[in-house]
Amino acid sequence: MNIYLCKHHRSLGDYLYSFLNRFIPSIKIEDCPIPSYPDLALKFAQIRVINPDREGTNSEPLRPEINFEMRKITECYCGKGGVYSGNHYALILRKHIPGQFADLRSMPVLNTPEYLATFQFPEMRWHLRYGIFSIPTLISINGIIEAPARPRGYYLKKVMGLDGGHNGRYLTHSDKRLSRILAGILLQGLFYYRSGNPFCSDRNCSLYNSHWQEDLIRSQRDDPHILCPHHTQMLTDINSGGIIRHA
Amino acid sequence: MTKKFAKVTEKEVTRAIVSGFAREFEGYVESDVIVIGGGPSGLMAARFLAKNSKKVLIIERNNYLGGGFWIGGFLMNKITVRSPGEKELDELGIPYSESGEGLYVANGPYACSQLIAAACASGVRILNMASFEDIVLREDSRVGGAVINWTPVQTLPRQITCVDPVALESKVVIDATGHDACVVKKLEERGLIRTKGFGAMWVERAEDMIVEYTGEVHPGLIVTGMAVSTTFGLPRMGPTFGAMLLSGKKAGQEAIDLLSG
Repeated sequence: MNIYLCKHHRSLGDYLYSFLNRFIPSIKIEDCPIPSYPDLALKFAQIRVINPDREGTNSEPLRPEINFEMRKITECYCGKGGVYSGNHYALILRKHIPGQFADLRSMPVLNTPEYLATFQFPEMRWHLRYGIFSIPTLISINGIIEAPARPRGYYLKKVMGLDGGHNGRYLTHSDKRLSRILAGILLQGLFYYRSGNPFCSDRNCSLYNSHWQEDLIRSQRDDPHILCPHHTQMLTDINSGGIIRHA
Repeated sequence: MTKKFAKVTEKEVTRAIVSGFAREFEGYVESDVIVIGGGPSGLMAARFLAKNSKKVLIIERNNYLGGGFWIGGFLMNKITVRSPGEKELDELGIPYSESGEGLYVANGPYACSQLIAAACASGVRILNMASFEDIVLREDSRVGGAVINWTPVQTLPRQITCVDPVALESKVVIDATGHDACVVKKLEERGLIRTKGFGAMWVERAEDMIVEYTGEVHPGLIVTGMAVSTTFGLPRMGPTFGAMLLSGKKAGQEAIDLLSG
């Protein structure tokens, strides 16, 4: 698995390597190559989500928007912009940086601070995501903190400026649990590449598809297990080159 | 009874008003920068420019300046800024207190009046009760000024107020008209630009983005403050003002870059 880390998260590299090396024999951790591609500014500007209730994105960006994307790429401050269509983001990387992001065998995963979303048809609105499981797989560090929902009361308090302490119930940007959670989501990426399904229904398995903050924090712990028995076996099968047995 | 005030007749008072206004107005028929809108971002932009020796005129449709800066959210007159906005409060000499980590609170009336005073003291000229009606366009659709009229004219039935507006010229125009984005919308009416409308409230992201996207949206036209949100389809901000102050300052710097470019 080739893991691309933004320079602001380079310090996580050693932890991620030692955690994942128990599950994946070959891991490479490299710097995000996007800063070398300023020509992608227009493409990124075009996939910014404008209206959370409208499927289209920013098809006709203005010059300051393109300039901003250019600064974001070259000065490496991803995550300071808006929300981007996750699937389109992956498509841009696959098409324009194929050496790193289109090679299925290398299982490319980009960890990015960008806010990524997908448009959901039953609700007809954009939803923030912590992961876009595609080629390449994208994991949004800010999405890990913001995408899984908190209870409604939390947001009401926040809008009223009453954003008080919550005793670790929810993730913050300086949260020490983030590295472990990111490692668990990388395991989801591994299973996406190996089996086509990154998720598990076991609420204590690192592959659990958490839509709520508390689910995410609970599922991304080493106790009672990192992977459920089924996925532990599946990983053994994968690593020994055997047949993958879906549940 | 002893007279405390100098003896001045009615006609002399009138003459002082007329001549004082006419002299100033004539001097600002052409300026370096016209700022449309006298809210916090417009005042900050204008102050920054005037401090850098630029000739600046603010067009404000209301009698009062300051826009929403007098009052915070929900009609309560405390305004909030998130860090690093407090540095602007320091520079303006506005007292504040820390309400939480990175969040500062100031009295709306004190903050607003201090900002207005700072803008005036730096040399900004103000035409209040005057509304923006249209833009002046030059070669290649470059913005070259503003067409204005007295605000009361707009509020009366057209059949009794056939009052033509007047045009003022400038090298740069700054749209600081808030969510209305009046100047940008005029360009949109002519098919020269397409605005995107503002999105849902997202306080944490909106402030950064408003500052980041502040800049020239069309040759000769800079957008600042909440007009940035409407122009680029950014999230709404909520009752916090740091981005207005920083966006205004950035718009001022962008204008200086344009003027010297």
